[in-house]
Amino acid sequence: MATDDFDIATTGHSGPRIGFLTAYVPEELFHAAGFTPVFIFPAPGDQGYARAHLPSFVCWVVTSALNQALSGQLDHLAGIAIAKTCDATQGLADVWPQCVPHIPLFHFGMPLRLESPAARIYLTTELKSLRQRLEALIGYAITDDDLRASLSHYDQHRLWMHRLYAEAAHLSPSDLYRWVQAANRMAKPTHSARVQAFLVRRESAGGGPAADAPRIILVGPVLGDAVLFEALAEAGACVVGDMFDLGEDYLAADTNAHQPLDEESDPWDALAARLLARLPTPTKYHPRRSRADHLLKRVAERAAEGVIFARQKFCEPHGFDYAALSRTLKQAHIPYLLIELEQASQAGQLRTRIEAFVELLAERRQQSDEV
Amino acid sequence: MGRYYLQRKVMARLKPLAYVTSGAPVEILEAMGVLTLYPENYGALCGARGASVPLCEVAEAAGYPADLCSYARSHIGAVLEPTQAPLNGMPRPDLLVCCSNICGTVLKWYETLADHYDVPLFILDTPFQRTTPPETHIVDYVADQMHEFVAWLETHTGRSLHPDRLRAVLTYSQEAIGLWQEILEMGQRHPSPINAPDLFIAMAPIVALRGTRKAVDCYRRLKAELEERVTQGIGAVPHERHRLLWDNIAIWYRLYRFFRPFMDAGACFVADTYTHAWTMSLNADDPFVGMARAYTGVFINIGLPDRLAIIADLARRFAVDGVVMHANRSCKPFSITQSEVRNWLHYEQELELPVMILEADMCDVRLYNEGAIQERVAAFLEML
Amino acid sequence: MVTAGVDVGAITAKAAIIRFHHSRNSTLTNDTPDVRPQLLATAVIQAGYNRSQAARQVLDHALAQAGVNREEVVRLVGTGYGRVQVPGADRTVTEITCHARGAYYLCPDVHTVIDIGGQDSKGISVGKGGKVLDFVMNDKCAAGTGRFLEVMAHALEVDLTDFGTMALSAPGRAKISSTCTVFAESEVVTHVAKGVPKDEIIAGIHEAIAARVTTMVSRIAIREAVVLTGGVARNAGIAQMLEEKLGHPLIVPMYAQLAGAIGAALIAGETAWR
Repeated sequence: MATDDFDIATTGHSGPRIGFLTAYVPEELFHAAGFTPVFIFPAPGDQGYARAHLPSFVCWVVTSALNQALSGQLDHLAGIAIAKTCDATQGLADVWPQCVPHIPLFHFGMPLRLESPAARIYLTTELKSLRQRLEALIGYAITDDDLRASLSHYDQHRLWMHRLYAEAAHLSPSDLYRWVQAANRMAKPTHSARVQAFLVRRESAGGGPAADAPRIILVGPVLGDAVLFEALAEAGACVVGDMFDLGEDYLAADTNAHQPLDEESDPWDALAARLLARLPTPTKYHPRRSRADHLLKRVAERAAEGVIFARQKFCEPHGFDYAALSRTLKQAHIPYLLIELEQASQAGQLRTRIEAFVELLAERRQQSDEV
Repeated sequence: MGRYYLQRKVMARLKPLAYVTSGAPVEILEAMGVLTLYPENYGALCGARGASVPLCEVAEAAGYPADLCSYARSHIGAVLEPTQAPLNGMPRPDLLVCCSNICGTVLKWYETLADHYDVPLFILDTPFQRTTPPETHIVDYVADQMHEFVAWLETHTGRSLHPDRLRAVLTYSQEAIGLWQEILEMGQRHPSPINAPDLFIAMAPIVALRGTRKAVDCYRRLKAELEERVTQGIGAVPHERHRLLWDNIAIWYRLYRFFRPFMDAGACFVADTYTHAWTMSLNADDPFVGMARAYTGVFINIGLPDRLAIIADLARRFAVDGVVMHANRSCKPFSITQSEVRNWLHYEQELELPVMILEADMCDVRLYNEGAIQERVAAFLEML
Repeated sequence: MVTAGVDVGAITAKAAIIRFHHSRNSTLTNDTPDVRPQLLATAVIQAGYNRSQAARQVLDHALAQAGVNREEVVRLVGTGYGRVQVPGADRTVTEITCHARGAYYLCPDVHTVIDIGGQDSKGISVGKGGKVLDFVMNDKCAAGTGRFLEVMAHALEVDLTDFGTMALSAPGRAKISSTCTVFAESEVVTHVAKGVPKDEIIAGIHEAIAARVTTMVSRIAIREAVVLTGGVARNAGIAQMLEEKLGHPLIVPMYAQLAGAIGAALIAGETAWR
């Protein structure tokens, strides 16, 4: 892999960046306004700054974001965007203007109910409200054409990510997730081009996990710890898909489900449709879209042998999600493992659990081969 | 409380029973003759009876992480093992009603219940109220959902909503809320006839019986009793020397033991943000919009500046000399902004109040460090 | 064929030497008595700070006891916290897989293993042939591990070796409700100040560990036979109270502390044939 594939400095994009912390931020709108949305990944560091403002029982993703802001590491951002999802990020959005007045906050009231017609109406108005606040910051209007162009870039990007995920079994887990993380930190058109080039190079290359590497699906909030992916790679496993909030269902979702875009379509409507069409993250509700069914389907389609839940400590939505999804897996006799990540995720402990799980899967397959 | 649950068990044979969240528009259910029960209230009961931990362990053994809300863990434990639960658990619901105005946990909790009991679930989405007064599209959305809620109830119960009945129920609600407010306002007296731990017990009707005649009668009696105390100059705490403000939900398993050292030092909790959360205004002339505004604007669904204004107002009007904040591990919406509130109260020119933040949990005693808390309380009392 | 397993933990290092009696062609299982692998020797030493040195030393001790040279060992498997620091290891395998296999060797009816070590505790659901079906670990927190006992013994100024017997002979048990070792220690201090008899406090401490471990293990299906492994298994007080809390009889094999090393040596033999 070319090392500057992931280097943000060489993106060629010198424009302003907006940090975001949750799914359901309408990235395309920020992009249309001339910003590059970049996810604020948790960073190592003493949480002292944030601890003065947040209680200890808040996840590391939120604590780290505030910590980075207070220690000047986010000064390059023109603003940050938080969509209404969980209580922790909502709390951060609430204290942010007080603690970090120099970085404007854009709160986006994403509805909880994805299926309700009333929610659709509310969402459309909320998008307009966000548009007005953005226009106030940049000082010029965001046109329909601007938005259409951004939507098109994002749709294109989804196609490329879809193709990347199709190669997942042939990529080391560390490499796959370097790509996925990079997708969330650079301009989509740039990332699309790099993924495209990479896929072409890869055809001739080869390498990656062994053909008999145990096949795993990951579930969780964000793509925090690189240690997790490294441990998977070292243990000789491959990841064949995920249900991360900012992973496969966020980046590579089936675009046929959305309204196709042309010069006639209302881009605001199209944006709303895309926000509502995805698989709900644990903080959203759709009566007919079950995460449990989705997981079982993905496990079957990808011939996965096990599921690893990589939950952040104190993450309530994923805590309940784990209880429900693990029960489904248990009934279906699919092995699973729970990893709880926190600020100082002990690499040794993580490695032991993952290795033990991979050993378990390898032996299980051996047993069924013998039978 | 035991009698309340027993009555519900019996009546549930005749009327549909709904589990509801504490911030749900219960008036609609009451008006349609649907019985209501509050799993959060049950969670508090488990906490108060010291029955939470074994139930939490049941939930944890079933895969629910130990850092989830302890009301949810206690209740889910009771659902999974009713024989180990107070009153043998709650009667089975026919319906589930979840309003998101208090937190995001209730969504997951009620989805779990819907899955377990296989009964219909209605989610009422109340977006976060960034500004006061709330933005129009938020009120419209919530009001629309109120109508949707009525239609949903009509489908699932075969009952219909009569506007007159709704008006009557709303009138009872308004009356009960008015009485409750008057009771709380008495804390402004010197000495205060009320102390927070007593109010934590007395709040059950306004939470769980709102919209009924019973709640009104109950608070009429309580108000009269307290007025009598005021006339005679009797304070809830003998020799009242300090007037304090409590923030967050009660520590249910230490309802009186925690407050004893305060009482002994003559410190009375004359006001608190938990009981004050049930002082919303329900505009009975325009019921659906009125309910939409009231239920969207609850204390933990509004922006920090608005919450600060409410707390500052309480601190001033009740002539408070100190604040104790319960950093409740189970409730992020209530706890997450506490440091900011503390800084503001402490450094604010006019107020400069001593503020103590105590980390604990509302139901899970395993998270309560008795020794450390006693030390800090003692130091705080010395400081006053 | 002779194999060896070395288990380097946080506090102790263990080694086991095993001889396999069979020809290249027969299948290796516990079920055929005449080919049951023979445990030649075991050894336990303090791990100290130099893990690779400890690994070398404990292996040497075990080899000396077995009357076997290092060159005769066909395969060596390292396990435990310090498994990557076992010099000369042909392979490393996690202690979860090794404890399951070792417990199966010591008790072929095993279906659940509870391992309480110095720094962590585990519950393992074991299937046919000692294979791991499911596992749960507590490695973030000292409560429910040997460390908890150490801290408490220190706080009460009692020898750790007397701890178990004192717990069992106590007429009552003091209540310790905190899940955190630090909070629990302050609870113990409070009990001492109130004049609660030492043995009752110790009994309460043992009960607290048993409760924590039971809560953790309840996350996997508990099926008999339930086998206790790890260093803390030697503490009769823990074993008895755990049995009480679990509601299942607990088997504590003589070589409980060596289960990991034994499992590692067995796996060394099994995988030599692949």
